[in-house]
Amino acid sequence: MSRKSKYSLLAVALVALAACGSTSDTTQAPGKGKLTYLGKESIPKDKAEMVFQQTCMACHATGVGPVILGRDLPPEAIKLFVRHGNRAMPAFTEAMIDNETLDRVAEMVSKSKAPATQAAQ
Amino acid sequence: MTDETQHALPQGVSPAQFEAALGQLRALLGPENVLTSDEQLAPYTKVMMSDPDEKHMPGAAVLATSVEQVQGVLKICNQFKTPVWPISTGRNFGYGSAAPGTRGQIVLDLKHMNKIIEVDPVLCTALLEPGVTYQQLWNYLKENDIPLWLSCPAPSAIAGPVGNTLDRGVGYTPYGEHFMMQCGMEVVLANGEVLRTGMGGVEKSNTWQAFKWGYGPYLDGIFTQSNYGVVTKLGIWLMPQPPAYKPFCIQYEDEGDIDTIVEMLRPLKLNNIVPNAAVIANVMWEAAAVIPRSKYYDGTGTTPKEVLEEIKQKEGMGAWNVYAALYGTPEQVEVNWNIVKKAVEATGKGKLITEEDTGDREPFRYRAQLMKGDMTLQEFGLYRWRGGGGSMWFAPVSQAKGSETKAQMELAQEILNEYGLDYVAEFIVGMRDMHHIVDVLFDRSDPGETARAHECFTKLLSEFGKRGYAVYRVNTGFMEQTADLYGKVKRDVDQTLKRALDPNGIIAPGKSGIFV
Repeated sequence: MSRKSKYSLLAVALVALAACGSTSDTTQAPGKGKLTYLGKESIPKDKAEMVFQQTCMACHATGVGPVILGRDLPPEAIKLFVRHGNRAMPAFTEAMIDNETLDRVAEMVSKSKAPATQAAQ
Repeated sequence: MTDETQHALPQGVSPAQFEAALGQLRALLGPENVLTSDEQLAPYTKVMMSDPDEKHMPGAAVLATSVEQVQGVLKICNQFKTPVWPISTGRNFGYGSAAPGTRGQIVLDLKHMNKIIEVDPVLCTALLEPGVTYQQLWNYLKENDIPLWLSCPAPSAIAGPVGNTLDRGVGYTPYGEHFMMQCGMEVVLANGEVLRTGMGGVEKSNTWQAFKWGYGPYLDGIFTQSNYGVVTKLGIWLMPQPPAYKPFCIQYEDEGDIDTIVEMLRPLKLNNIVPNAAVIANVMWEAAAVIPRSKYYDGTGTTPKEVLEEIKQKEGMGAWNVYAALYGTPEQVEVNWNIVKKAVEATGKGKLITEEDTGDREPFRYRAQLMKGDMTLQEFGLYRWRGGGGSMWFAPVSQAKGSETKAQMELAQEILNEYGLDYVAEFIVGMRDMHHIVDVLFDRSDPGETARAHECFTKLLSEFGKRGYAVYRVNTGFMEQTADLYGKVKRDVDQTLKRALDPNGIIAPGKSGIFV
């Protein structure tokens, strides 16, 4: 893919994500009682799943970053976002997320369905 | 893959010299570990500060996987006088990220050196390579049922203990002053020799991670925030998981209450009632972690005071929000909780909030996670407060005295507001000091706002400097100006050490304002 077409794709995806926006209020419903903390059961065994859960979703499922699930984002656009970052989003090197893992993560995000809580927003 | 890059070259290095160095590096590391194309270098070029990207454009990036390879890289760099900028995970957002301090340096990326070499569950220590992330170490402890806690900064999951400690970063647990909890390091020197500090040089020693000081001059400090060597192993201390943990928040309504808060907290900290690196976050920091500014204000410039009042009321936030925690046995926690309650009551104001009041509600939740060393990226919400991906941490040190923190707050507000920027701030509570942390947020896609942020940051440094206040850490765009604040003699000594340890100046020239 030429550099020009890559950036065109990035621009299209940027517009799509801007339309999605981030959730305007990330505070959960006021709850009483105990805090819940994650334990070892939260650690995925699969490498791509681990990147998805422990890196992508740490921002994109908490309202910090824009919603990315269930948006039919093209895998190539997702990979460009990851490698270049977008505005406040950090960029990730090949040393952090290798190309093979990124391919799988991009597929997972691209084919994801919107979670129930997201659809309700 | 085609090489689309016209290499950014280091000062004084010719294209031929640079190409020759790359050739040798390819032979040493394998071509796949010498990155030169635009596509490969893109993640190393993303910065959040007000400096232009071009000023910090790397010439290449190389990936080393062993101490021997690091030695080999430095040998080649000495031969061709090509400087390298070592990074561990490169997640120093708002301080320069992975990009080199000056244009053309080769990023020496140590992310693939990511072995957790040892965790001793008895002495509660760890020995790590630079590429280990906090998330990786957290996973390891959980998977192996080792009841030890980490202390991590806010970008916990993707940052790493070695880089953070070497930059003298902080976390939020009782082990929050990370360099204080560091013990022993392995350093590859510019001449290729491998130094082990502390007890590490003693043959058959088993106390490298147990005793910090070793014998003779204590050297670890000179390899932090410096460019005298490449650290390839670092020992840290880990906190035993306490039987009881009680995070809490205290909200104060008025901005001027910072004086009262600090006077109330200092004895609790000095007497170890509140043992952790507690924080005092202002309303904008508190709000930014969970909502964008646009929810309440669509204008540009400084957020008006009446908007902040509205946020306080509707989001249930204080002008200042203290987050601290108690640790120990249930009995200890109960005793200390009563002391805390009495201290707050004595101020005649302040609202105590516990997890029984909030459950999993943010931002209490992420603060509670950070104060026990759990992974969360919730605080990245700061970056969408104004949007646009611009962030520079202004981090002056303050005495832990109410009058001093108030004076710094007022000065910072005055300067930021002059440039239409927001005072998004917290104080991190030390024993006798406060790290006053201001996130100078701006829209980096707006050249005008970026220029204002640059001018603002310059003025913050100089005006604080005139009053005897200096930052403990700064982004790569302002290292020279900051080094000047610490005086000529300090700069001369820094340079003398540089010339002695790295006479060709090939390791991270410009780091902390130090050149050969």
